[in-house]
Amino acid sequence: MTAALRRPSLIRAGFGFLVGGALGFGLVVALRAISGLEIFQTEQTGYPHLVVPGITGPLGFLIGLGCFDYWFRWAAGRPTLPEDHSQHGASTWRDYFRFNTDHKVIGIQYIVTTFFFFLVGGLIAMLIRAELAQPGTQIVDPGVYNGLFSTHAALMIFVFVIPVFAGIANYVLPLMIGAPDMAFPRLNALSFWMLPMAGLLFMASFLVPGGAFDAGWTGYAPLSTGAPLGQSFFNLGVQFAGASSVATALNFLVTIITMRAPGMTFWRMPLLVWANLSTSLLVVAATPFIAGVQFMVLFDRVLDTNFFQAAFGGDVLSYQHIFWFYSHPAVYIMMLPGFGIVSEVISTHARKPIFGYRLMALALIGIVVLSYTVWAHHMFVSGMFSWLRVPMMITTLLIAVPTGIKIFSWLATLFDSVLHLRSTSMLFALGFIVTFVVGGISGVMLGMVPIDIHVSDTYFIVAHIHFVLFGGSVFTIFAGIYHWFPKMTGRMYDEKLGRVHFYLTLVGMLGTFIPMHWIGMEGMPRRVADYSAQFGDWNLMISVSSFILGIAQLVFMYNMVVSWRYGPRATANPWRAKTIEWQVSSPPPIFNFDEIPRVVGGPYEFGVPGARHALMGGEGEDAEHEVPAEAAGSASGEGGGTATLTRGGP
Amino acid sequence: MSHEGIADVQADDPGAAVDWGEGGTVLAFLNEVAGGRRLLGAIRERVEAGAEEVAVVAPQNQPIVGQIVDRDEVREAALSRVEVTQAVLGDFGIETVGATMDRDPSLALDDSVRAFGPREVLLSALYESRYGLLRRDLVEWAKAKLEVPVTHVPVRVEDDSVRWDVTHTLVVGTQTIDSPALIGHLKRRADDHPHRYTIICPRSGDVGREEVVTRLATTLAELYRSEIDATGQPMSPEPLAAIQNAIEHYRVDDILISTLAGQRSKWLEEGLIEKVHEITDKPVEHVGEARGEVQLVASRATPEAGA
Repeated sequence: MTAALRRPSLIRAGFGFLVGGALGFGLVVALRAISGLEIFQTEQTGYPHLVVPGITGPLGFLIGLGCFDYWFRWAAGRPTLPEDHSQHGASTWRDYFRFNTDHKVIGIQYIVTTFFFFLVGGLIAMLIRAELAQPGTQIVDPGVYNGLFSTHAALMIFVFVIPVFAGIANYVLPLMIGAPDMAFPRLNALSFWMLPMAGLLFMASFLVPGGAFDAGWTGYAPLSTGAPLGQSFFNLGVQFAGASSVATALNFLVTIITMRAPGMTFWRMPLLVWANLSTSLLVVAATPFIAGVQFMVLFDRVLDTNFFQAAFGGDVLSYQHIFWFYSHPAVYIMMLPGFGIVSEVISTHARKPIFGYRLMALALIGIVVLSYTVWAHHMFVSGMFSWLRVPMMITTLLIAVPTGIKIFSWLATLFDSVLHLRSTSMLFALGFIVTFVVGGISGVMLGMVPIDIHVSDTYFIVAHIHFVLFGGSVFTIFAGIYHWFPKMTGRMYDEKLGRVHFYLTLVGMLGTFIPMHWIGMEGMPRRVADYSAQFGDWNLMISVSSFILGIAQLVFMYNMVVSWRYGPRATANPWRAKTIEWQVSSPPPIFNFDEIPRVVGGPYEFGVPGARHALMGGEGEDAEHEVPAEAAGSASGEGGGTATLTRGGP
Repeated sequence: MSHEGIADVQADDPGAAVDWGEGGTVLAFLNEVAGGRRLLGAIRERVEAGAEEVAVVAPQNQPIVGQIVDRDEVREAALSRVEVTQAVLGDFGIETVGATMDRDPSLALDDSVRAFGPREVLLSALYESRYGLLRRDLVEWAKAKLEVPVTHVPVRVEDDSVRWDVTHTLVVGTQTIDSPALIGHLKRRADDHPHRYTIICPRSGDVGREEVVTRLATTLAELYRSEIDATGQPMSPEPLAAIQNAIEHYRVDDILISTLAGQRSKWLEEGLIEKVHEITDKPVEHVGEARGEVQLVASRATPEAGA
């Protein structure tokens, strides 16, 4: 047992959690006793003896897991071993349950963990739809209902959609740019392990006095400042998710900027890399705002500060401004990586170069810039200065331009291609284009002040956000998972089950969210457990469709688990893709490459005989030769084309 | 060993001394233009000194002649430059490997160095003549950036362009470009008076690009053996557009159009000769090939003279 506590492990992490929690608890008790305050403050929003352990417990867990061991050794002046790779890579399934510095392991850790939260969030959604299947109250009371939709959204946004993209990029991005790992592997591992803390805090809120946080994922003040203890768990969970997100984004930025293989110019980067570069810029600049505002709410609740308590001079509206200054860019944090995935999938499976590559990349940057200028379109009915509405409306409409460029570029890429609709990842990418366009158009409608006022806080908003985040983000997540599944696991998935998953998901998704537009237009309010009987039929249909959607995800889970274990072996490049990750084995070697690849062309030169994106290992150095008979050469990212490597002789 | 007609040809730029006794690769980089006799001479020198392999690379940029907008055609033009050079080198017994690279010449050169790991780069390029803020001299850039020695082998030798006694002839032909009769005619003209030939092979009938490359290389090699300066490349535009572009971008003193004789020539059927007279006042000579002989069909110094 002592030995187990010396080694970094989940056992030591559990012990660390207990010790950390106890220290936090003890600290509060001691300080309150010294200060002559009541030891256990149990007002509705207080509970410092539970809130502080909510911070110190997870920190103890991370310390116990070994996240800080190396840094502690360094800080203590003890010898550190930069070349010690004992925490790198996985040879058994147990290695996925420890602090691991291998970006591929971390990628899978992210994906599996986030899908766990996706399942929990999905089950909560099923509960919500079961309750809403008929007017009246059937399964949960309105208070619990409020907790359910709030937790559903928080889980889906903070610990599924945002981090699952980080997981996919974690696995793929270093391979794509020809790097042996991320720039900061230990920080990468720490980033991952902060994430379950966030999800568990959200879920744990159901267990605390007063129930789960119920002010929505937006946590508007003053609703949140006066909410029961569960709200503090939301505030803390967002801090862990945010810290994880910022650390990962910094890691991506440094990795992309400094660790690209020779010849990988910015204009030769695959669009997934561009997408993650853009997303990381958004995360680094925007996430501190939500972290700050959640701390302010927490301080209002626990320390009696008055940031948002109007009665004491606080400014209620400023919460919304700060929150949306993060949370509108967050919509793009949840979209841009998906754009990158779709570009990879469409180009590869349509066997076509990306149309307008440079414009696609610049559109991403355009979205990043514009996304900071639209936040107040979420606040048209908030009571803010009315003059602010029009500029925000204009910028909101403007942001449709770079987004439209991307849509048309994908369509142009698909134009005249040979589509194989048997590929699940391609099906999801095509489905994404349709559903995202619908979500985008309803977004443009919502950007217009009169329409927004009319449908504010109705199911039209729910329909829009789900078309964007489910039809948009989640479809791209599935496209990415299917596309890179062979690379990650070394196995092929069952394509037939994949198609079943897609069609069930599409039908379930459309059946669930299309009618919400109509009932929203007719005035059915969101975030309410009961509703007028006139909406009963539509809601029944929505609930049935949502259960189809839920069942479809079981098909996905079964396919992934069984294929991972028993699927046929995958070749290195089953999709005949051009990017670097497909030029190494499936799964890739522990440090990715024996020799760093040399990039000699654009990543999407499909249809060009002998086109190569990169030369691997010793290729090309000895023309006698490891250069393939038809090889080398290439084009700029714009797709200038590549010719065949030719041989001439007497 | 004799240089067979190229011994007198040296690169303007002596470059850095490389000890080829250790073997290694020499990289010939063809920017915008293809090779020429100086490049051939420089490569042969390296091979004879011990270079083990020769890599011929061209960026996929716009050829100096052609104004091609279609991406595939730009790529083909680059490929043609490479293949013609390879074929000529092959004719002189030099084995090569060739590739086309990025459309940006500096990036393509950088890639080539990474891909082939050469010990020296022979940079076959025009003299820099563009000015302004965006001017980027590839030769200067390569010498500053690359770690391997770079030797500039200029294609358009300024000495030639100011020499009063050299006639710059644009030779246009595709079907007949490698006919011994035409080659003999070109040699005879060069014997009479110093000539420098720029050969273009525009699209013609169903002759494939690969076949044109082979034919053109045969002609170039023959001319090099006779110590005659010449460069050439297949071109994708139709013949009239190709001639127009060539007149615009190259120094051209006169034009020699080689076709099949009489009614067998589609170019004649389309009235190419007349159309060329309409667009230029340079002397145009038309030779038709029949039964292995070239026959002077028409020659006139100015449009007026022929009118």
